[in-house]
Amino acid sequence: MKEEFYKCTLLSDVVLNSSLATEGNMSTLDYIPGSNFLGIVAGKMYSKLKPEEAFDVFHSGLVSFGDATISSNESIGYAMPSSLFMDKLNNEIGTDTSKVYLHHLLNKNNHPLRETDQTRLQLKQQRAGYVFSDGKTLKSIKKNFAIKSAQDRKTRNSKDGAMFGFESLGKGQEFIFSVCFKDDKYMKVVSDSLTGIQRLGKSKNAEFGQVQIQRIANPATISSFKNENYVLVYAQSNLCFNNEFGQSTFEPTEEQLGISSGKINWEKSQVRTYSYSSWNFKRNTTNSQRDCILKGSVFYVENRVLENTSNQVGLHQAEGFGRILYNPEFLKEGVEKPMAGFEFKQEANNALEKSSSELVKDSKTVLGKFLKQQQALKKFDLAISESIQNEIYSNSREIQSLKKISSSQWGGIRAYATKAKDMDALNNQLFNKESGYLTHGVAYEKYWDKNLNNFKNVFDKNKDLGTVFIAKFAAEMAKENKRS
Amino acid sequence: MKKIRYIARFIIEAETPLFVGSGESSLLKDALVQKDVNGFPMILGTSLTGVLRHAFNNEDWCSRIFGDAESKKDGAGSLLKLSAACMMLNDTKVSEGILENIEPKVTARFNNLPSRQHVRITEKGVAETNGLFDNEVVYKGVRFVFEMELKGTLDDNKIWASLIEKVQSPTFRIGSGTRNGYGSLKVIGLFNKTYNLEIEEDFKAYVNFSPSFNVSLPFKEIGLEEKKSPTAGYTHYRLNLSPDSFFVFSEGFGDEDADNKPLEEEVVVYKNNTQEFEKQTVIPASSIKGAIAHRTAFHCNKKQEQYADEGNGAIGSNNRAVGTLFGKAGKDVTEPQAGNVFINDWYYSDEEIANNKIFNHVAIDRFTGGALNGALFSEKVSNLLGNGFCFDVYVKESKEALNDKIITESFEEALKDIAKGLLPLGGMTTKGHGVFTGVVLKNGIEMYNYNTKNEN
Repeated sequence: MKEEFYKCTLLSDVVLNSSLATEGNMSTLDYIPGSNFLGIVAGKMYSKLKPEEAFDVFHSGLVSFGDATISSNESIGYAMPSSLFMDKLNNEIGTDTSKVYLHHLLNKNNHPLRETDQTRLQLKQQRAGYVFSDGKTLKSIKKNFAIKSAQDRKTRNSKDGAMFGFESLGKGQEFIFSVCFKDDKYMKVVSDSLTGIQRLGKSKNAEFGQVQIQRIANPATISSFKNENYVLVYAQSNLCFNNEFGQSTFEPTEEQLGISSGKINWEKSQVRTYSYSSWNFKRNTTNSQRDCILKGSVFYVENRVLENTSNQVGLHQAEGFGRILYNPEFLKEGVEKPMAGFEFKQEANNALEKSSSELVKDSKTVLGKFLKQQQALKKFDLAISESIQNEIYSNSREIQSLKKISSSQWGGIRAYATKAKDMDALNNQLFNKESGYLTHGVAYEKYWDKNLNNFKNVFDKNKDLGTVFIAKFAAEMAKENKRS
Repeated sequence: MKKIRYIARFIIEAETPLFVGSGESSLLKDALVQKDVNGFPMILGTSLTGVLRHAFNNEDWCSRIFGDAESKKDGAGSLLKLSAACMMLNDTKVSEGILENIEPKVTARFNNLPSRQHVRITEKGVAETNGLFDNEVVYKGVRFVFEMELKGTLDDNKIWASLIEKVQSPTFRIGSGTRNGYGSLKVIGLFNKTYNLEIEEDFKAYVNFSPSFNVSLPFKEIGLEEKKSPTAGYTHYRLNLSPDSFFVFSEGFGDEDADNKPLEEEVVVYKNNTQEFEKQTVIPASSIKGAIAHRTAFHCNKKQEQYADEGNGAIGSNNRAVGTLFGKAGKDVTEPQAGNVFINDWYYSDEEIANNKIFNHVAIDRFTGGALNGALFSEKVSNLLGNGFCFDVYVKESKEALNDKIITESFEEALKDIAKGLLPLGGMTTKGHGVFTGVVLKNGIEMYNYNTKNEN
């Protein structure tokens, strides 16, 4: 069997509804199901291939299109294993203080205790996010939300009952998926029709769904560890099984998990399930309901050592269902049980877009210059406000004695400051020895004789902030005078 | 099918300052005007549409043309499209999109728009607590360009004509403070064109029509009729006044010569399509409106024999006449209502009003007969150089206003009081400033004449 890897870069936002679009408040999946890639190839090739070839590629499982999961630096993201548990109050994965416990190692005797009072910790299952092979984790995938409304051509209004909210995967993110071939014959056909710029998901005739698919050599994958007594089966993608009577089941047998002997210990397993009906575009209706085991689920199989077995199990393998991993590294036991031996790290960076401040920095367009200018103005205003705040609420003796000056004096200063051309002119108008507003008259004797230097210090200290600072400072000081 | 496209482009000039608020405030000003991306003032299309729609509220075609999402009958979108009004810069260039290389001189002027201080005065003539605020205004004289397009049929040409006429009417005002003297507009240029999309030539011309205001229009300007004086539905009062001596509408602070001086503001004048700034003396409508409102309340109470010493005189918006004529708003008012009285701000050039007279005041110590320490101050006042003022007051004839005899008479008494010299206007009235006498006209007919003492 051969496996080829592809990188899928989102050129625009992509909408992948997690349920049928018959109700509002749609949420999007956080991965791209393999059926989408199967669909891309099928759309191009189905009619060109002979019926039996088409069956091989698209229905038999000889070619299986895997789900695309988020990637970070060409490393595959794995859905958070359901066996990971953390302290309910300290469940940020990868921090210095937080610890990750493995469900199958927990028992009555080794339940982690709180350091302070030695009571049992309340543990919480980790469900959201992804883990990468280097230990980095990603809490959530970047998503956007948009409201769309249909227009009624007749009335030029929004159409009644035609307003939708679309949640989408944010553009710029990269996903990795693989295609497995049990028969080499179809590799070229698939690869040729997959690569390039494609469209997928909902509303792809409008603004959503443009992606670029490229082949990549060997992305970083998780390795597995060796184990004597048991095998952990981790669901890398969703799994779907029928029992011996052809009915759907949530309880696969050991054989169905690809292991010839041994016994599943359900108590030590963590299985989450869901049901859905896939959509058939050709028939324009749903297929029959599928009962699935959610990716990230972990089965614990006792009395069994790992042999080389298949890593695809169950139904619908062509669409990416049934990918499993045996004993992946992130479920390794630590030295101190029940802690995990794998080193989890914090947030990986999957943001390809530059942050907005960076964009402004190196932009030379008219818009860039404009935004930069606006940013500078906002910063300047903030600087003025902050300095006023600092001055007025400081406990310095200078300010406290300035607060005794009457509000009408401050009103006068404010009037001069709002009209003055610049700080030099204002300086002259206020502090000129002969004609300055503050240097003569009754008010000088009453207030400014002792305080003039205090105010001059504030004035000089904030010279760079301009007359606006003095005007606003005076206005605030007038209020302070009334308060005290 | 709507096969006719009516397009009109207006060039309008602010006859009085504009205040189309943006809802924002800055460190220095409590309310800022709406500005475009270049920092120049603008008027949003929604503001224009709102005023226009309101004017045609009683017409049966109103909801069809302006759209009505609420009612089932005409539940359609608008057929009329109004653009935002963009400011005209030098050489008939319009501020559109992000402009590069704007003259720093121009931006400096518009970065620092005139600021108007308002203080709420009680019926006792003193400032109310927390009654001081200021707002930015757009210079009087600034020109704007906007476009109006109607999607319709040939039958709609009457509606189109009345829409164009409305924009030209003297009561078409924009923004807030339209009762305080702001927002009066004058149409100084009008381009009007009708395209019939069934005619190939028209269709092509319409498709190629550029919505940019900086592209010269493929059709010619049409002549403007002289602006019509009072339109139907408005009573027009005119006061021809001359001051007894000096008057002062003060700015609140002084300059290097005096402690207090008259309010002066820069206005824009387009000379040869270039903006020039002139300093002029302002008589703000709000200061006259306040005086008239308080006097109207007095007359209204007097006519109803409600005397203050018996604890009966209703003041402010609680007074029937004031509430009806000047509107009411505020936290305690259950049914807020806009006023029906429109007064413009008045601007006078150096040739009409001089502000060079300085009065020095000193308080005398009653005991020593000498000057009180620190009680010397000086003020500049205005005196009229020309013949007299001509003030226009428009009152909208709503259901209540001017149909009620007491309200009408109280209001007219207040106006007559001004002409009789009994109601001084402006500041420092207790020092003898601001006394005016003259003639009051109602719709062109003389109501009171101070010189002949004739009263009709």
